[in-house]
Amino acid sequence: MLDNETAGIGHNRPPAYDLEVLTAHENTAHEFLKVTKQWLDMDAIKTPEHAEQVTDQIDGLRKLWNKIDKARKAEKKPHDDAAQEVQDAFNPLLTKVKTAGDKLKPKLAAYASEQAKIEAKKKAEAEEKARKAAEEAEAARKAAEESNDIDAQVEAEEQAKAAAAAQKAAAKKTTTNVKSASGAGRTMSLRKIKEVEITNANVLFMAIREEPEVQEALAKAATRIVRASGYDKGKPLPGIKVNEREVMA
Amino acid sequence: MIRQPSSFADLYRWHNAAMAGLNPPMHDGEPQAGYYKRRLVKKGPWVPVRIFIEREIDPETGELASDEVLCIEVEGIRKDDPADQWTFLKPISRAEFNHLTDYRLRDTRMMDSYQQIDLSEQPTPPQGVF
Repeated sequence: MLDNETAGIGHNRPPAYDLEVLTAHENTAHEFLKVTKQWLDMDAIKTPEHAEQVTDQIDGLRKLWNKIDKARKAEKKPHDDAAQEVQDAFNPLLTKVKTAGDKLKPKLAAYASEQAKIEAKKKAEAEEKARKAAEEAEAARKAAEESNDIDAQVEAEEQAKAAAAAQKAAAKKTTTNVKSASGAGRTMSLRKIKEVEITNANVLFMAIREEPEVQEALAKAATRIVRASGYDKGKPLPGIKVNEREVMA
Repeated sequence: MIRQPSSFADLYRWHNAAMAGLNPPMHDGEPQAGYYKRRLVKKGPWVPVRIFIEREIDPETGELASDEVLCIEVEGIRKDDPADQWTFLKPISRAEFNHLTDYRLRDTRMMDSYQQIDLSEQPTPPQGVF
């Protein structure tokens, strides 16, 4: 920092939390981790006294976790409150603006869809016209060839060329884009999106049962049913194997 | 009237039943001889408690020379009336009583029986392992 600069508020950027609280917890946690290493370095727990002591150690670790988590929540709360205040202040406005835009979209979509219909009709007409012109040109060319009239032959060829050009122009894809009035906005267009409505769940399941999302959902539902009380007495689920694992709780 | 001293089985009938898992009823004001533990404060350490009989036996006749009096020791200190403590007691085996008596001297957190223990304040190392 230069001599001619003044130190403003918070210029040395203090942390967003109470460093003393964190350090105190860090020191306690360090002690616990050291002792945990002592426990882990032991071959196995053989005496009931050690088992009872390790229970105290595990309970102590859990209580320490709770304490530290409580401290974290306390430190985070003012920031959460501030964030919530900002959200509360801005979100209603965002919702209003978004809703306004969404309300206008169907109106524009109706116009664009109407325009698309008109364009399609125009295109069909132009195509029909071009096809007729091509047929006429073909007939004229044949007649000219048979009559050996050079003048008519050249004219017929010109006619055929013009007809081909008209056909090509008619086949060109039409757009339904709606451009910005000022040129600064985004061009909008009608877009088709696909949405799924299930009509036969069984057939659908057979088709997509290998998908990972489906497998995950099946495992989740099966676990819930297996863990629920009364599962052992009721009908077992087909197609699963229940593995039992021992954990200390 | 000749008064015979009570037998061990009679005196410790309730405690033996408790140790056998028979869950004998604990009636208020009827303390029974045996080994127990209790907490003096909520979340405090276990404290060993012993209820026993004091009596005088005539060495010549083997008869009682005095009344049989129920006495109580809470963490090794004599207290007045066993009935005061009785409802707070949890029966334990003699082995557990001995272990508790010994262990509370080895764990510094258990020294003060009136102090709640916060296990998250200091870790619990494996005793006897270095």
